[in-house]
Amino acid sequence: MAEFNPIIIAFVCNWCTYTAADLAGTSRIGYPENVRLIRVMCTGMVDPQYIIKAFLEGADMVLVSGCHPGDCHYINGNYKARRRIKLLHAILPTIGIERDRLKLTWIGASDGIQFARTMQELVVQAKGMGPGSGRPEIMT
Amino acid sequence: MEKRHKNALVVGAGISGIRTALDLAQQGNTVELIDRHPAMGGLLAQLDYQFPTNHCGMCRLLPLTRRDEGSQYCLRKGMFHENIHIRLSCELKNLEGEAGNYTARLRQKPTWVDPDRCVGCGLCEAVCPSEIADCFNEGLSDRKAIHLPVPHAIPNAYVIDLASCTRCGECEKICPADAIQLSQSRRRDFQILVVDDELSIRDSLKEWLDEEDFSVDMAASGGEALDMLGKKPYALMLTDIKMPEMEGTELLELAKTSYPDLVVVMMTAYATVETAVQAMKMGALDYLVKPFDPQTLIPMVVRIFQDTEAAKDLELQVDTVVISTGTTFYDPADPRNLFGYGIYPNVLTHIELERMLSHTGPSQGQLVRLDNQQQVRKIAWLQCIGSRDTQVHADYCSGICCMIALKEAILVKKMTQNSTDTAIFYMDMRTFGKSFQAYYDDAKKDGVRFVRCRIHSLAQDRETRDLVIQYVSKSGEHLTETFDMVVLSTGQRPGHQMKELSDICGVDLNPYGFIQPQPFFPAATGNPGVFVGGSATGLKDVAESVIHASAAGLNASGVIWSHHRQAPLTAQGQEAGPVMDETVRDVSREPVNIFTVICSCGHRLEQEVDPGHIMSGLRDDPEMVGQLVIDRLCTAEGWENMVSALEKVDANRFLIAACHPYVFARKIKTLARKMNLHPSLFHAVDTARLFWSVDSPAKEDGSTSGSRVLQELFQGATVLKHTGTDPIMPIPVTRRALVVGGGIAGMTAALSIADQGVEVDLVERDKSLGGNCLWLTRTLEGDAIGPLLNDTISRIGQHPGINVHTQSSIKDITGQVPSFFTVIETDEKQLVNRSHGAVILATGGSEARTDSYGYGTSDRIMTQKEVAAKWGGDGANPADLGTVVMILCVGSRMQPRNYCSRVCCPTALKQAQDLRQSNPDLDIYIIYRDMMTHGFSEAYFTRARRDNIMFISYEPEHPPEVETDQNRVLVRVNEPTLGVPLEIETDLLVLATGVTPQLPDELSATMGVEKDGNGFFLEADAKWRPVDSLKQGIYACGLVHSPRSVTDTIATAQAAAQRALSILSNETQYSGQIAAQIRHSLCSRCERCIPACPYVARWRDPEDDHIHVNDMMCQGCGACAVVCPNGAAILEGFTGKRMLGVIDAAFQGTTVKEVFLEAEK
Amino acid sequence: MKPESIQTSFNEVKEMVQACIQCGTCSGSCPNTFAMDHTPRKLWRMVLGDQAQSVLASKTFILCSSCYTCTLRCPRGLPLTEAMARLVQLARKANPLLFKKSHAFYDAFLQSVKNHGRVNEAGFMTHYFFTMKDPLLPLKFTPLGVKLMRKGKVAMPAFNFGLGRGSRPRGKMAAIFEKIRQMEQHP
Repeated sequence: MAEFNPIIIAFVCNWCTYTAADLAGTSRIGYPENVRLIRVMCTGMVDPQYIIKAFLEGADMVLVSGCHPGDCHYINGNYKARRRIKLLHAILPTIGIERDRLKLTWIGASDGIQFARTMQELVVQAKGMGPGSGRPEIMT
Repeated sequence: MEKRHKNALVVGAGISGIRTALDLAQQGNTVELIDRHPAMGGLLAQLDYQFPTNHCGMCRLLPLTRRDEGSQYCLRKGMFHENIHIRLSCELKNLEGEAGNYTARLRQKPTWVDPDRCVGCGLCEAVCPSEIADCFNEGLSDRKAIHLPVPHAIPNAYVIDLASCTRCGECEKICPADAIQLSQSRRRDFQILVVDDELSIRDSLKEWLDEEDFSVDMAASGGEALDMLGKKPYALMLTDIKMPEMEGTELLELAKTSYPDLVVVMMTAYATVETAVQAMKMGALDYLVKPFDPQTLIPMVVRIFQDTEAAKDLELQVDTVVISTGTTFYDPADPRNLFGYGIYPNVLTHIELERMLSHTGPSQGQLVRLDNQQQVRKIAWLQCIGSRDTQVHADYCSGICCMIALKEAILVKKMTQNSTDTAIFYMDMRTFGKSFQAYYDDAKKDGVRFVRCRIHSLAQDRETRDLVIQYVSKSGEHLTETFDMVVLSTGQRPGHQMKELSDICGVDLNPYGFIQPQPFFPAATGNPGVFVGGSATGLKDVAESVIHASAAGLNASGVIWSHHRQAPLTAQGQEAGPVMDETVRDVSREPVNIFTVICSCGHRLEQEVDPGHIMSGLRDDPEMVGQLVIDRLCTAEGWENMVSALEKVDANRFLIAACHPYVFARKIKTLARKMNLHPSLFHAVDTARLFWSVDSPAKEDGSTSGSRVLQELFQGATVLKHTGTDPIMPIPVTRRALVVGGGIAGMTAALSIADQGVEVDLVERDKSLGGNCLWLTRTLEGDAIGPLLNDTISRIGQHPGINVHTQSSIKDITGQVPSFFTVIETDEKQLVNRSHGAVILATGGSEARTDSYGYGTSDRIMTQKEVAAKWGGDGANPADLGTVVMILCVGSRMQPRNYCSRVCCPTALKQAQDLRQSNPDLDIYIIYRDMMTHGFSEAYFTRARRDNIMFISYEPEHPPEVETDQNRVLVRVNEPTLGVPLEIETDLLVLATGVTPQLPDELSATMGVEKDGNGFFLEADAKWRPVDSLKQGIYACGLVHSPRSVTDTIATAQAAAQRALSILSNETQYSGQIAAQIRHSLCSRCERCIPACPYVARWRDPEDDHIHVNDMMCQGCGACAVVCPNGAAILEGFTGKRMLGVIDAAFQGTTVKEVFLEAEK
Repeated sequence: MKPESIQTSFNEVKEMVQACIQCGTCSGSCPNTFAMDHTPRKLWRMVLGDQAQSVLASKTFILCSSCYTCTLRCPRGLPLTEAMARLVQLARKANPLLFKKSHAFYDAFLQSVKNHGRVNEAGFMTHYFFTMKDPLLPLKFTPLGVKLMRKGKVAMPAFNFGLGRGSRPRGKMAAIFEKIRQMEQHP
């Protein structure tokens, strides 16, 4: 059995965090391969269904990351995301997913370094938490 | 020289240039946007935070309609638009012609790195030996000679700073894309002919020039030289003068006759200098005196070479030019350097501080001392450095340094969790904007200290290197404070090479070197087709820059209209057609066939993964019909290879795997058009970062890069499988505008719109047009308002396209952009129904009422407006007065009217000036809080002081007191410097009460616009969309927007008109591909989606009982889709099916059991 | 001196500082504010407020050492040092008794310059004490005198009129002083 390598699904907003990830790439800073980016136009369009699906598919951690409050291209999408994540934090433990497995961050477009650092921290955290309960047995 | 035509040339690609370019492009005009720097963004590229909202949000500048014509990513990183051609490292060298027909000559500086080839890999940077100060970080960190001009730009090509390049060539060798062409290699193409009868000279010269990589041929005589000139195109000829058969001068004459472009340099022995000079008169460029050495020869040859390179200028035909070149800042290290800038390590300018506070800056946002990296515990800002200082020839204010200091202080407080002491040393706190006073109060609440004293110099403690500020308080107390860091709020200076630019464009400069606008029209210059936007006329904050940029755009589009268009733009008439054309191939009935192109990224792909494994993995999916690996797709060459390969492929969807998918958006559109397919049938995914990322712990992941690549590809394939291909339907526009309010703002907006062929309904409540301009006489600068008003009113009356409705009001407005339905109640109480595509609110404002300071108890106490009416024109005689007192900020800048009205200080000065002129012996006192004479109006403040007008400042806690006693008016105020109470008996007391908006609740509710806390029109975004309302299609200008002078009002009116024209100029409009759709059969009418929409774009139609979404207002955020419980509201382009499929694909290959969620969301 | 001409001269000084914005640069730069009764900023405010009496009774301008720091830094470019000097002259005429000591000192100094071409410290101090007719005055100056002598800043016995250190022919200095006197009478 190989060492546990968590899978992190990150829903990133098109305007801020996705370009920060791009910047991390161009700056050759790089971020762990564990992270799979899924681009959305705004964190406000991240349906809780997507998050739960990600966990059920086997994500050990799910990240929702968008613009800083006040910077949202669509005015207030990130505020909506914040409220939803808060609700999910309350609900997820009831279905067996620790609330710490769902993260919400604000990462601006020029924060390439911040993005890479955050991803690295999340990988470490996820490793510490062990495999998520939704993840079926896998061989890597 | 190639000749191309564009409607407009915009010089300067900062915020203002971008705004103007986008405004013009949205209308369908073509724009050439140039900037002398290798990157876009101007000053704001360096600033992460801008007041008054402390955050970015620049992406909100992007167009709301026809979204797919341009980029849809972070604007701070760059942009593209179908109608805008961007040329960086480019300068305007010459401009000839007249409005509607200019010829511009552009010079593009070679950066020695070809942006079409550079992939931004950074290998060159690693091997470059030359390290210099990084100007993006204001010198606080280092970079290499080959560097990225702006670290976060997309696309990001490297550039070489020639001044620091050592020409070692290491970068050229290591570049995998062959993108670097140091001029060394171009030198090979530079042919030099050396003519001398002496062999030794010929040989030496050839040897020297050969070493420098030039191509050299030799001729022993004039005749031989002429022979050789006929055989090859030589660029330079070096010839001796004294030669036996043919004299050098004769050779020169003959050569120049046949080859006029040949550059000739004479070589002469000392005795024949006169001949050499004579030769220069005959066309030789220069002469060298023998004997000379390489040190003399080579620089001259290199210079000639570079000049020849530079002469490859571009010529452009344009209808109009907009100058948006911005400003620079004062360098505190001027000869006196009173603040130790550059000497004391902890003294910074405000831009340097911004870089330090930035996450991408030299210290990644940590505020630390520059000498010992310790935390900064005490930081001070010194205001008015290089401004308001006649010693450095700057008798002007730089306008926004006060606000910048406030912003930075607030940020520092936030970033250090309030642990750092912040102090601002100032003379006047100029918070003249609508929300600035509240911002100032916030700063005070956050604990920022304010000390009203000008600091004249700094000293540094020898041991600790702390900075010592010594000053004397008003009460005479000597105070000393030490700080860890001192920030100098440096003032504005004219932009680079303004003198040259003003000569080229035929525009005037003001005495300080900034562009001088025409009176009343801030975007107009002395040259009728050349306009100016942004800070080139004086430093402005973001909102004002954007307003002035749009105003410049309006002037430019007006010229384009009158010279070229004269007809509305139809779908066929536009140079760049609509993105979604109904004639593309319809693939809706075809099975999904995806063809994949994978970039090998300089062959990294083959090194990191097994391409065969990827191919076979892809082929597992029957819908992936073909795969191809091509190298370096990001380069022009690689892309061309792919295009030619794809032409032979039979597929209806294309997946492209490379780096920087954003960059491909533009190329994909062109490709789609070429292949007659819908652009959303192409999708790009980022696989390159999987190869280029630094080794991270997760590389020990059992999953090889190969399966990660596969996952990315499958994610992309899923997107393609679910992509919608419905064309975007055109939305017909009602090409008529409604302007509510007939003051100068409303009239200017109406004329601007009508002048571009759009009909206007101008509705005015009063009997006559004119608004406040009916009683205003002149501006502070002395320009008479009467003629402007009369001219404007007569133009309105004569304009066939403007319908004026006086004594009318708006009864009701329903509907949305681009078809509002308006009911106008006319003077005869008739109701008129009209439809409009856009609405401009210009209902104006009036002087605020007051009952402070005894107003109403004596006829000697008047407001500024009353004084203007009484004393202006042929009112009463000021000679009868002995004393006049003016009190400013009456009821302003305090609750409940906590905003600055901006016009009162200039008005007071203007009235004092008038009074002083008519009665030189008059005693005039002005009692003020802060003199808001920002920008170039500061000179009037200086002048007022010189005119013996006494200024007494007061703090809001201790306002003056007024006592009226029969016919006497006594004003009591504390003299702050002397610390004594003054009692002034005055014949006239003038109260400056400020401006209140005229926006009745019924009107704002009817229109659906919001008001801010003070009753003014609330903008969609204070900085980026200053004249728009959040409800699209409604704009505001003039006093109802914010208090401002007549000139600035006209700026907002022109800006609002341009914004309205971006909708009204075209017969049809389009939204974007990513937009909300509704499946009515699933809708349960719960109406949750309606309040969820931030753009108020959804409504429930009572007639058909359906939920509708306005395609123009919808921006595609997806908020509606999330809240809908039934899946009736979806976001086209991001359907639930696609999202769930993409999530699946992210796991593909790593889970044993693959779960497919087929059920529809 | 006639009150009207005092007022005229005072107004001239007022015009020189008319554009003062009370920013505090002059007070902050001045090295001698510790000894002044009014800081320079306050003084200019008083000038602008037409408080001639109070201004001319102040010690501030007397203590100005003409270092010119304020003039160099004033953001309004006001000729402050010159204004201070004007006030010194004006105060002399308007308030002869109040500034008797300073004026006597000043006159003694200039007399020494006129006689010797440069200041002869011991000579001019003697002259000064004489004029003041205060027997205790020399004693007050003793500590300072000793300090200066130690540093070699005092010329030895004052009895070598016209000889010794750097003397110039009397004639030329006298001509300069005469010219200045003429200029002062006909400004």
